[in-house]
Amino acid sequence: MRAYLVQRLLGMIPTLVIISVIVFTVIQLPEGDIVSSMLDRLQAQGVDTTEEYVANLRSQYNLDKPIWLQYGHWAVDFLTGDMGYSILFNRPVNDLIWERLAYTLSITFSALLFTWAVALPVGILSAVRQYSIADYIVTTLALVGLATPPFLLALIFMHIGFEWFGISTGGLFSPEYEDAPWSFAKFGDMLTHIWLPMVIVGAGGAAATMRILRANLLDELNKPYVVTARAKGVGPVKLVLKYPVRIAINPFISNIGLTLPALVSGEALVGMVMGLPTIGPLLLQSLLNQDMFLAGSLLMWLAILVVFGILLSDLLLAWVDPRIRFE
Amino acid sequence: MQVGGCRTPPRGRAGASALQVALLALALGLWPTAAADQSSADADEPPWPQEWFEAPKTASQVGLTSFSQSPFLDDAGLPPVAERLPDNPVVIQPYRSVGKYGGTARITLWDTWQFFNWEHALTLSANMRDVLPNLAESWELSEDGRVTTVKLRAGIKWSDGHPLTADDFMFRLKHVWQDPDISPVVYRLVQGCEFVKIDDLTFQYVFPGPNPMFANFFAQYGSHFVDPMHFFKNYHGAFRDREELDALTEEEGFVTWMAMYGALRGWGNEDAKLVPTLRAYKVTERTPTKMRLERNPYYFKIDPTGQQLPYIDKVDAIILLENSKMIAFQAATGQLDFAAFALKTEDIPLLKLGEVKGVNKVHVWTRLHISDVSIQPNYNYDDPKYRELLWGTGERRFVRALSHAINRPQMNDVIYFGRGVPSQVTAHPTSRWHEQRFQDAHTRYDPEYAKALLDELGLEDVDGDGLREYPDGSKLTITFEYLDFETPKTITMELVRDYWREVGIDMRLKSVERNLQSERAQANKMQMTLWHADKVTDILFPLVPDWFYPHRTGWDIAMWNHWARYYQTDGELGEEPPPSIKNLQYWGDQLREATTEEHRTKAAKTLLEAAADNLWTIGTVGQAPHPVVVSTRLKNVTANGIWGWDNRWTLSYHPSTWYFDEGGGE
Repeated sequence: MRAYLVQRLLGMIPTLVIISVIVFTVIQLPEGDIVSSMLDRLQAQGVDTTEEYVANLRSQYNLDKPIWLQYGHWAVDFLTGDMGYSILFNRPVNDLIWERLAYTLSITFSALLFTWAVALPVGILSAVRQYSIADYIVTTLALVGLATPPFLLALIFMHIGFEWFGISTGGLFSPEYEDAPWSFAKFGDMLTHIWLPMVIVGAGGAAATMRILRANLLDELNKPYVVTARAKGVGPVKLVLKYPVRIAINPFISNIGLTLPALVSGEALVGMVMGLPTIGPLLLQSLLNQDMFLAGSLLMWLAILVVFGILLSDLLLAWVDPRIRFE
Repeated sequence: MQVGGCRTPPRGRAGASALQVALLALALGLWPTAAADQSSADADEPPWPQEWFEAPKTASQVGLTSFSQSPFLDDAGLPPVAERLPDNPVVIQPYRSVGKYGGTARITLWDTWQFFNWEHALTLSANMRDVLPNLAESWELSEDGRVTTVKLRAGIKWSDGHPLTADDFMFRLKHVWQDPDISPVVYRLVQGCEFVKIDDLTFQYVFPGPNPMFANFFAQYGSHFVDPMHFFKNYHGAFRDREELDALTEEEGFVTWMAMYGALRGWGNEDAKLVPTLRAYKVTERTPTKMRLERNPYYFKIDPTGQQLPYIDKVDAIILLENSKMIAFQAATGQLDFAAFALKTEDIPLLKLGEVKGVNKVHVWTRLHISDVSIQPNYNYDDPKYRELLWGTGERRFVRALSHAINRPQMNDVIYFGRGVPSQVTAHPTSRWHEQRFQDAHTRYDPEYAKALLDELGLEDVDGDGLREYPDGSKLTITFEYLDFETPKTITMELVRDYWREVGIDMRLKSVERNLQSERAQANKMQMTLWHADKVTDILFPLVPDWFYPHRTGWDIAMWNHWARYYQTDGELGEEPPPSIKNLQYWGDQLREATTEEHRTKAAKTLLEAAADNLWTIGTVGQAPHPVVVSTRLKNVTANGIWGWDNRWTLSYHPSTWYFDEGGGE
């Protein structure tokens, strides 16, 4: 077990190095750079965007240096915890990510919990009561949830939230709580806002997970050991939860590694639409504008999440299902 | 009177000058239908105050001796208001009425350049014709046009109470514009400029050659001419020990000290709250979602009753990244007090829903662009057959045919609710050089005439596919590459493509990304492209008459690169232009350098006439409606401004006089 862990951890190093090179190269591939893509923004801010100005900006940000040198600086700094400087936002990347991290984590993890909290019971229910009215209803809802892009859900929910419940759109707090120090009232206010992005980000995942769980469980429920157990008089709840669910849940666990980054990137669109101060919109902006330090650092973090997520799911799988052995 | 005010039936007003009466008549003549169909909507809008067209009065001129301040500042431990104001404060006339203090304005970060504007040494008149004093009390141009002398008002202070002096202007020019580290390449319009300080309040900009239009640049671009030296010298390599500065740069996480300087100036980070300002509001806090500002206690303007401006105490600017739909939604549901920058013509119906519900008021301003799309055929494209078509024995027939094939009235209805103005690219109606015939040249929709012109050129449909071929029988296909940005370009060009197809011209649209636009435009790889035609007012047209003669290349202008390079490099690079173009280049120089009004007018008219006749670019529809949404409580916002870069959107409409009319009101 320990040898396996060490081996896996060592294996991550070349993976991440290769990813970092690819990330940095791909961001640089399109023509132009951050400065040329900032032109319209600069013009909007009252800067005359002449060629002279562009050349001056390039030299201020060292963009006229060779690319491998820029990569080297960034990579070394990244290892020491300094993620470089965002030209787009005129701020150090650390600050940008740090100030958005709490919001992102709270939305992502609440969405993850929402996904599980909904998908597990509903999936089990619709498998156990296959073709019942309840199954049809949740199946329909799940298909709608799968088919609706999250940004559209966001628009619809935002409209409903504002029109019917008077929730101010955008952000995680009502204007009156934005400045207030943390208190129960502020926490409550956040809860009234956070459920929207939570449901929207989690909805697609919940629907997918529920369908997978249902299909897997249906396979298991008809196996002889279940029939035998039922014949032996095992109670219905224990019967389903003790073995079939544990097996049906495997693909679900092996998916955790991919779920984490998917939630962050799924959150990007929703964050964009709803104007949330999360990392997703930051990533999108940085990619669109070829802000390489910001985009590179964010993508690196996503890569690290994936790599560790996969390790985590492998370990979890082995723990849940003793048939799986470390090699 | 309102010049953009074709939208309002201008009414007679005592004291209007002869010029203004003439302009009124002109405006009425230009847009009789527009004026008629607008009369009901904006009937209660008063004309713009006369004061907006003249140098602002000072307190002593209007006999004000006592001043008051917002209660917000009462317990702030500041010196008395009379000491904070300059020796002789500037009196600003509000649009409708004197306002009252209080409130927090809700805007987005996008509108911070509009909701409270920059304070320049000079500013612009509301009709964009004249340069007026602002921070400066007066300015003067020497007879040879080389020297502009500026005299500041005495006693103006930065928001930290430090006095504004000539050094602040010197610092910006010498140590930013012309600093070898910050600007290795010096910007064209300040190259060779010398700064001469005469005393603390008086200074000169001295140019090697005549530069009589410098005041226009200085007024329009004025925020880039002054920095608080007492603050910025702590962050500048020429004033601080380099090692210390490098350590600070490192500590703050910047790449170079120049980048740190730029960041401080561009208020991209929390440190923006440290930077003293001359504007009506100063930053107090910046979070990931919000920028908070409060009134600058040293602001130098007052209202006609002696109250220090601005009226509104605080501003909360929400930070929404590139999210114009969200902003439109918030504006439509009354969650913002002012929104305009991120809104588009197509948002107007949505925004009006809010007006129906009574949660906001939608003002429809006129965008400054004389044409939202200016189509640029590339006269220097490296294909002899295509070049022959644009610039050969057929003279201007091809481009004229393309122009006559465009159904501008229909385009106006489809895209602009009929509220735009079909137009070629020429001077803006506010300009003293505007002529209706320039604007209307070859705008008539006449596909038959277009076909006849194309027939004359020998462009016939040989293979029977309904599309014309070159005279030698080879395919004529125009690849139209463009960047979709700012104005409604894609929908305009889709219509143009269909109109051209009707007369047998095969044009293929290719929307490119902005870096590609920049690369391909400058490499002369585009057969045809477009941009929006701004810089057409009296303020910027004489400085950068981009559409009227070849003098520069860029991502926005790619129709005569070779001729422009020849001009820029005195014949070293590029290609020698034909005599007619050389003549225009001569007049272009004259437009910028002329020291007499007659000579400048002659230059301007020569360029405009040539553009109208030759159609260097093909215009479509301009002066388009732009939504400016205000909350029902925000007062004194004019209902019909001109929206654009040339006048910095709101510079001459005095946002510091906007106020809330319902008490403290959050």
